[in-house]
Amino acid sequence: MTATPAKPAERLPRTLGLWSSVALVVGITIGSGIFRSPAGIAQRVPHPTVMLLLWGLGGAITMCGALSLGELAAALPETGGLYAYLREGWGRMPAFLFGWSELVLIRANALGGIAVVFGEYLLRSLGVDPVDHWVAARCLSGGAIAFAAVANVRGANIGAFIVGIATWAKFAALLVLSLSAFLLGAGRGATVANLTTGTGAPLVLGSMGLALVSILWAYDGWADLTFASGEVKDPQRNLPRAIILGTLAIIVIYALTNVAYLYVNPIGTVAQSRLVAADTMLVLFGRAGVVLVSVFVMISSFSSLNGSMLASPRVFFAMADDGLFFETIAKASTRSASPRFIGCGACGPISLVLIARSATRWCRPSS
Amino acid sequence: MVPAIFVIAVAGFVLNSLVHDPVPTGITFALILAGVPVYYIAFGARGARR
Repeated sequence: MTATPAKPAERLPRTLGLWSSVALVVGITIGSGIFRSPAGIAQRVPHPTVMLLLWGLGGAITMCGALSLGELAAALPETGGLYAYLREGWGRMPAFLFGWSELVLIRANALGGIAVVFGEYLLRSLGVDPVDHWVAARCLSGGAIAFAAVANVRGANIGAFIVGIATWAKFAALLVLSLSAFLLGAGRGATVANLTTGTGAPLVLGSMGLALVSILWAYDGWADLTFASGEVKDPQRNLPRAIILGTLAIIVIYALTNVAYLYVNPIGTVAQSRLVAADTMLVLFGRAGVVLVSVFVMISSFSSLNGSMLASPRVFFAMADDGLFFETIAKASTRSASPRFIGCGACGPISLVLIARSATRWCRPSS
Repeated sequence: MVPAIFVIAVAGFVLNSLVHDPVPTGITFALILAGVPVYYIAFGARGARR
């Protein structure tokens, strides 16, 4: 890899410190996946011990990626992250295809899917059925995307502030859920036997591989901080630390949460539960627990949406700076020092179309 | 060593998805490859600005 000369336009100020960066990693990664994906994973892997081992394996693979990327991020702390590494390592065309995938597939699906989850859970937390009021749910989803876009256009600090608050809230929520399960579960039917007793259905290697993909989807987001590398203070020191610390925190909280789910619910119940966190809280706290978890899923989804919106348009900014995207995108706002047309100029319209078409019916559940 | 483990693992997931879930995986590849003509038509001719 060759050393990159200083960009002629280092227009985005370095405002993100270590803990803001860690919060960004955690905030983007913990979305709706940990609340939704265990059901699909349990259907593919009908044995709790194997399921937990797969979550551990997913965490180990993610950590391998985090360690690798941490080194790259320290060597090349540029806005665009993975795009910049691909450009330096493989050339403009592969880098463009990565940015293209971000635009038409990865980010659009993620933003649309996460926003849909946010809208539905916001209504559910208010006691309104999102299925009966799907127009309102979609409007709220579109509003969430617009709000996150405006907050991030105003500057990375505002976006990072929102992510920071919401991140610690949902991290605490998962911790409370796990600790509540371990402290209160025994009196409400939870048993350690749930962690070792399968349904008796056979384990299939291919299905386990697909389950692992779902697990990695829940872990997805750990690399997104690199997109905003150009805005991290002291990047050689803070970027690798933030990626590794953030990923480690996610691995620990995911492990605790999955053990808590399986301690309270038999794996057959987890497999049938579209919202396993709600069912766990229902066992522990009754209906109030369901409302509480709905609020937290909503916060979690919005935080993930906002973090994704904060990080990903930096890829298009870097592409435009290289002449691989529309030049207007490369212009930073002089007032906020944030890339113009963030979200609303790139991912926003696609995400809104996805929402209008009820994208989550054919997209994978978002993390 | 660590990057090699990550690359091998991820390559395995892609292959597994192609074998066990070919339609969505194939559509995903088609959408990614649709970027090749876009690159050459819209942006490829431009020289690097850096």
